Amino acid sequence: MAYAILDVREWDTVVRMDTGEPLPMNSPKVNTPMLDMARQVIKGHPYPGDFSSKSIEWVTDTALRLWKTYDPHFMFMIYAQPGILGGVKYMTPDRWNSLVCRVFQNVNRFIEITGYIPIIVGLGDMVPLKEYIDLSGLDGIGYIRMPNRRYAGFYNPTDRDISRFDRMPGIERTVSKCDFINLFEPSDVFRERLPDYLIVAKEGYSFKTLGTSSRTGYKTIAKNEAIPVYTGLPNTEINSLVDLKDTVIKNINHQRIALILLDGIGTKDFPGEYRLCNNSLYWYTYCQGDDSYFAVSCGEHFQHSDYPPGWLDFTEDFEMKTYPYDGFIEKPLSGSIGNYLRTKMGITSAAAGSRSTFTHLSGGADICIECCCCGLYNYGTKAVIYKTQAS
Amino acid sequence: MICNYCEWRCDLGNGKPGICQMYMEKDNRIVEKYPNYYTTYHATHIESLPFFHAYPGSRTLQIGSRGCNFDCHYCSNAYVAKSLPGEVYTFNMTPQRIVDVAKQTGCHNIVFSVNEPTVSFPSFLEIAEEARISEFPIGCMTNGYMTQESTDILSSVCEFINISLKGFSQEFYRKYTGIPDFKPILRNIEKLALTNHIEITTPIIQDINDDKIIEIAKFIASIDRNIPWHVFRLLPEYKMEDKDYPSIQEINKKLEDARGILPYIYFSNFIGSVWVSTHCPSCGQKIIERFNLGGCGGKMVKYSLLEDKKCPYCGAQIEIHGEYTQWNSRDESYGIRNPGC
Ligand code: SF4
Repeated sequence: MAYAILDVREWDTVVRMDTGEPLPMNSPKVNTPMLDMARQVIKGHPYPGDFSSKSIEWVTDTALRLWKTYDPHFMFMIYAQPGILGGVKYMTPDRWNSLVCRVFQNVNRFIEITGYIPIIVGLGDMVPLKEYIDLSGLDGIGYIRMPNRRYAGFYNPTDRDISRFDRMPGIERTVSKCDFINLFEPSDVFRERLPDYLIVAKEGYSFKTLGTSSRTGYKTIAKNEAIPVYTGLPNTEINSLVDLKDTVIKNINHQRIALILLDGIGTKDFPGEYRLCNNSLYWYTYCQGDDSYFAVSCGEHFQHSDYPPGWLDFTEDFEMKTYPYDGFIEKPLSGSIGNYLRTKMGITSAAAGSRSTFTHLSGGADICIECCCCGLYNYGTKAVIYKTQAS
Repeated sequence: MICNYCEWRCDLGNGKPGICQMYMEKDNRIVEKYPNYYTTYHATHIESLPFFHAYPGSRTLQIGSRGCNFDCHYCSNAYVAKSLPGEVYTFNMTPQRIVDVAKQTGCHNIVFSVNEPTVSFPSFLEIAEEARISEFPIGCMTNGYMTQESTDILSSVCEFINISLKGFSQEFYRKYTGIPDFKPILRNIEKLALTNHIEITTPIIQDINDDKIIEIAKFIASIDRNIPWHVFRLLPEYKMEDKDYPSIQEINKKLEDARGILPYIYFSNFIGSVWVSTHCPSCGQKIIERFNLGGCGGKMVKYSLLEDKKCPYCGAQIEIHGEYTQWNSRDESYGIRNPGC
C-alpha cells in the first residue's frame, strides 16, 4: 500500500494513494518511521514554486536530505526547470545559459557531497517557438496531453479536415490509427486509447487546441533523435533511452547510483563529455513528457505503456478513478525502476524532482518527494511512500 | 459614448480605450474589439471551476477570453486577464463551433470563466444563444461588477453563476482591485440570488481581508444561507508575488466561526484540502465527497444524495441546482470513443 503526505507548508494530510482517501492523523498507518521521515523532509523543504529561482536548489537540497536521513542505494532525480521555464518565460541567451549552468552546479553539488555514481540524461533541447498549429477551426477535435506538445490526437475527422492537415505548414506527418498500430504494435490498452489520427508537428511548432495552456510560449521541445548521457560507470553501453534501466540494474550491486534527468537540456547545452543515446523509435521522437520518463524508468518504448499521446485522458477521469492524485494514471507503473529495485533486488531508493507526479510515477522509489504544481501554480509539496516499512 | 456593460461606465468616445480595453465605439455603438476570440477551451469537472451545487458530476466546457475590468493585485490569471492584444494566443471560434466542441467532447454544460465575461459580453451572449438552441445549460464566473442592465441580461441567459466577493470594504476594493465602489457587487449578488443559482467565491489574502470572514458570511446568510461559499487560499502571485504563503491553519480557524453561520463553506486552492466535501446541514453526514487534487474547487468522488436530492441519512432536502450527471454519460452518443482499427 502506498501513501502520500500532501504538505501545504504548516498544514498537511496523509492519503492512501489508491483511493485518495485521507487517513485520520491518529491512524497507525500515518505514524510509521517512513512516513515520519518523509514528513520531516518535506517540512524542511517546501517547494518554492516553478517560477522561483530557488526551485533548482530545492531538488538538490531535498535529495541531500533524503540521502542523509534515508541513505538510499539508488537516487532518482528530475530537474525540470529548463524545460518548464524555457517554455513559458522569455529569457535572453545569457539568462538561459545561467539557468542551465545553475542546474549543472546543483547536479555536481549533489554528486560531490554524496559520492553517488551519476547517470545524467539530458532529455532534449528547447528550440524557439516558430508558430502555433491551431486545430480549433477544424471539424473534429484535436487534443494534446500536456506536456507533449509535438503530438496531437485528432478525433472525428471529416474528409475536409484530412485534406486541411496537408495544407498546414507546421505539420510533419499525419498518422492514422491503423497505420500506427501496424508499425508500432502497441499494447492493448494503448491501442484502445489511440486517437483516430496522430498529428506530428515539425520542429519549432506547437499545437494550440482543446486543453492547451493559455500561457504564452517562447520555446518548445526540439526534435532530438539523440540525447546526451554522461555516466561515471565504466564500460557501459547505452544505445537508447530504454537501456538506462538495465544499466542501473547491472551496476547497482557494486555502487550507489544516481539517475538524474534534466528537462529541456540536450546536446546544445550539455557541458563536458557525454555520449549520444537514441531518443526515437521509427519516426517517433520522445518529447520530455510521460513518454520519455516512462521509457527511461520502465526500459520499454512508449507504445508498451497504457498512455498514448493525444489520448482524451479526461474521458476516463470518472468519479471512482483509482489513484486520483496521479493525474491520468490509474495504477503505479509495475515496471518502474524503483519498484524493480525494491521488489526484485531488495535495494533501497529515493527520488526528488520538480516534475510533479512524474517524479514518483517514473521513479517508483521507496520514498519520493516532489512538487504539486499544476499549470505552474504551486499547490504544495508531496511525499509518496511506496515502501511503508523501514528495513 | 458610454459603455454600459460594467459599473465603470467608461466613456469610449474619441478612441478612448476604457478600463478593460476590450470595447470601442463604432458607428455610434459600443462594439467588441475582439469578438469571438478565446484564450482557452477545455473540458473539465464542473467542481473544478468551482460549482459544487450545480449539475454535480457533470463535464463542463470551460471557455475564457482575455482582459478584465479589475486589476486585482493578486490575480492568478494575470497572464490572460491583464495581457495586451497579441501577448497571448487567441482562438477565433464561432458560437456554433464552441457548442459543437462541447458536443464532441461529451460536455454537459458550458461555463465562461478564466477571465471576466463582462469584457466579452456580446460574444458570450452569442454562445449562450447557441447553447440554448442545443439545450446546453450555461454558467459563468464573474466579479459581479456589471451594471444593472448587464445583470438582467446575465440573469436571463445563465442558469448558474459564481460571483467573486473579494472583500467587504470600500478600502480593500479600492486598494487591491482598483474599483471605486463595491456596493454594485452586493446589489448584483442580492439580485441574482433571486433569479439564478449562485455560488460565491472569496479569495483570502491573509492579514488583508481575512478579518472580514464573519461579515461576509453574515451578508451571504442574510440573502440565503444555502448559498455555497468557496474560500480560496491565495497564492502569492502577480503584484503580490513577494508575499508569504498564507497559513491554512489560521484561515481555517477564522472559518470555524463562519461555519455556524453558513452550512456550505468550502476551503480550497491547495492540494489535499479536507474542506471540499458537502455535509448535510441537518445530520452532519458527508453526502457529497470531493478531493482537492490541486487547484480551485475539487473533484467529486462520491455522490450519495437520493434522487429527490434528499440526504440519504436523515432525509433533509439539500440545495442542488440541476441533476447529478455521470461524467461520461455523453461519450458514446457524441462518438469520441473510436472503435479501433
Ligand atoms: S466593460 Fe470595459 S469598457 Fe465597458 S465600462 Fe466596463 S471597463 Fe469600461
